[in-house]
Amino acid sequence: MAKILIVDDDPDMRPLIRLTLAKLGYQPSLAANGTEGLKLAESEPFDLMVLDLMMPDIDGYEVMRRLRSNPSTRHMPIIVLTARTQAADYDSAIESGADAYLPKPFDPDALHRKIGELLKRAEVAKTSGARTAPPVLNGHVTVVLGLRGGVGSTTVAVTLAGALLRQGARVCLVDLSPSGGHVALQLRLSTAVTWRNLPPAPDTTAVAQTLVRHDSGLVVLAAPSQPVRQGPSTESFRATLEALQIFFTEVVIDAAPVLDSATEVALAAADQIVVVCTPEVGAVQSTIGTLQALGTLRRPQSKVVVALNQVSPEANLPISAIEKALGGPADLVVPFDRQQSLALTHGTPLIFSQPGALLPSAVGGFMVQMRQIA
Amino acid sequence: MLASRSSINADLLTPGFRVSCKVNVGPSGLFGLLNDVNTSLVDLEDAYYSRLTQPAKIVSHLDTAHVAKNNLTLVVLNRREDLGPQGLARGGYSRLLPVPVLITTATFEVQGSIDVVTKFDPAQLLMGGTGRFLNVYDASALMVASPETIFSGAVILVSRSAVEMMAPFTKGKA
Repeated sequence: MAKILIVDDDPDMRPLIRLTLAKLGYQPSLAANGTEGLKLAESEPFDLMVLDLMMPDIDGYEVMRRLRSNPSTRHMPIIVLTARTQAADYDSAIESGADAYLPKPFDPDALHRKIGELLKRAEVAKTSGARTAPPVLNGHVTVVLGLRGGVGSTTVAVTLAGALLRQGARVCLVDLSPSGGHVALQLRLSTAVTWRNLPPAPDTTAVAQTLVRHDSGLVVLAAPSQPVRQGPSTESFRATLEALQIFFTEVVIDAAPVLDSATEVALAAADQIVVVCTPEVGAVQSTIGTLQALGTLRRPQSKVVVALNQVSPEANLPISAIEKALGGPADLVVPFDRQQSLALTHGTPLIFSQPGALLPSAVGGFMVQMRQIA
Repeated sequence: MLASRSSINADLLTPGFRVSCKVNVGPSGLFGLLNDVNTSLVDLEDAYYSRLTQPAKIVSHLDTAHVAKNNLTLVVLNRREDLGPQGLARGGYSRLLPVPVLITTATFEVQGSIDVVTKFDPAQLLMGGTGRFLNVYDASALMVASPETIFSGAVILVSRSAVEMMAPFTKGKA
C-alpha cells in the first residue's frame, strides 16, 4: 500500500484528500503546512507527496526546492494540487520540481490516475536502477567566461571545442547565452531546437533530442537566437550537464556574460575556467572583478586561466600593463587574425577551414598544452 | 482566519500586483459583490500576493486584506459558477449572443467573449447601468509589458473604468 503525504494548509481540503486517497487504497498522512511537511518527508519515507502551493509559512515552491536538494527526498514524486492555475504557476511548479500539476477543486479520478502513473514510473526507475546508481560522468568541462561581453569568448569557445575535436575527443559545445546565442551563428546551425526546449528535469533522451550536429562532428547545445529573459534553470541545466558528461569526453561551455544560475552550475562543475579578456580598460577591469568573484566562489585558482583575446589589430593597452593589472601573465594570448572576420562571414570557423592560421594555432596549441599538464 | 463555505478562489489583478485569495461572496456571488454600489472595498481572506513582474512568485501571505474595487483591473475566475446566480451575473435568462471581443487596459489585453442580448452596443456595455465590471467569458489576459505572461480563466471580470479600448473581432483577424 503506497504511503502518500498530503501537505495542505486548508483544514477543509486536507480531510477531503485523505478520505479520497484512503478510499482508493492508499495510506495517507497529513501535514498542515510546509514546515511540517518537510519534517515528515525527511523523517520517514513516502512513496509520493500531494502538495499545495499556497501555504502561509513555507510555500509549495520552496518545499519542492528543499525536497529536491535533499538526497533522501530528491526522487519522491510530487503532485501539486492548487487553486493557482495560471500558466506561470504551472511553469514555476514544474521548474521547482513538481512531477504533475492538478487544479483545485480536484477531480478524484484525475488524482487517482496521476498517482498511479507516477508510482508506476517511480517503480520502473527503481527496478532499472536509473535513480539509484549514480551515473559515471566522464566529460571534462571547460567553461569560457567573459563577463564583460563582446570580448570574443564565443570565438574562443568555438575554437577550443574545434581544437579538442581535432584531437579525437567527443565534444559538445554549449551556448548558455540568454541574449541571443552566437555559437549557432558562427557555425551556421539551426536554432530550431535550443536549451529552451529542455524539460525542467531532462533525462538523457531529452538532452540528446536538443542537440544539433555540425558537419565537422562538433555537437552543439544551442541558445535561442532571440534574447530571452533568463537562461536554463539550475535544476534543468544541472541534469543537462550530467547527461552531456555521460555522452561526451569534452564539454565546452560558452557561458553567459552574467553569473546567472546556469553559469553557476557550469562553474561548479568546471574542470577548467577560461576567463576571456580584451586589451581595453573596461574588459581588464571586468576580468579583475571576475577573478575576484571566482575566488569568492571558492573555485580553485589552478582551474582558472586568463585568455587575452586581441580582437583588433592595434591594442589599446600594452600586454605588459594588462598583465601587471591582472597580477600575472596571461595564460593564453589569442593573436589578432584578419581571417577571423571572413570566417565569421562564411560561417566556417578558422579551426575547421584553416587550422594552421594564427588564431586556431594559438588556441589549439594552448589546449594541447593544458591537456598534457592535466 | 478560515474562509466560510461560501468563499471562492479568485485571482485579483491590479496594474502592479496579483493577489490569489479567497473571497467570501455570499448568495449573490462575486458579480453581485463587485457590482454592489454600496460598498467600495472587497474583503479578502488567505491572500497570497505576487508582483506582476514575477506573477508565480509568492511575495507574502496575508490572513486578511482589503482592496478598493476602483483599483482592481481584472478578476480571474476558474469557474463560471463562482460569478453567482445566472439571473444576476448574466443579466437575466433571455437568449444571449456571445460576441468575441478584444479589450485593452493600460496593463492588459483581454480576449474572450461577452454576452449581449440583441446586439453589440459598446455604449451600453461601457457606460450603461451602474455595474463596475464586465464579464468576459473563456478569456485570457496578456500582460502588455510582458507578453509571455498570460492569465486565463473561465471568466475574467474587467473593470469598466480601466477599459481603454473595446472591439468586437473575428478570431484570426485580431
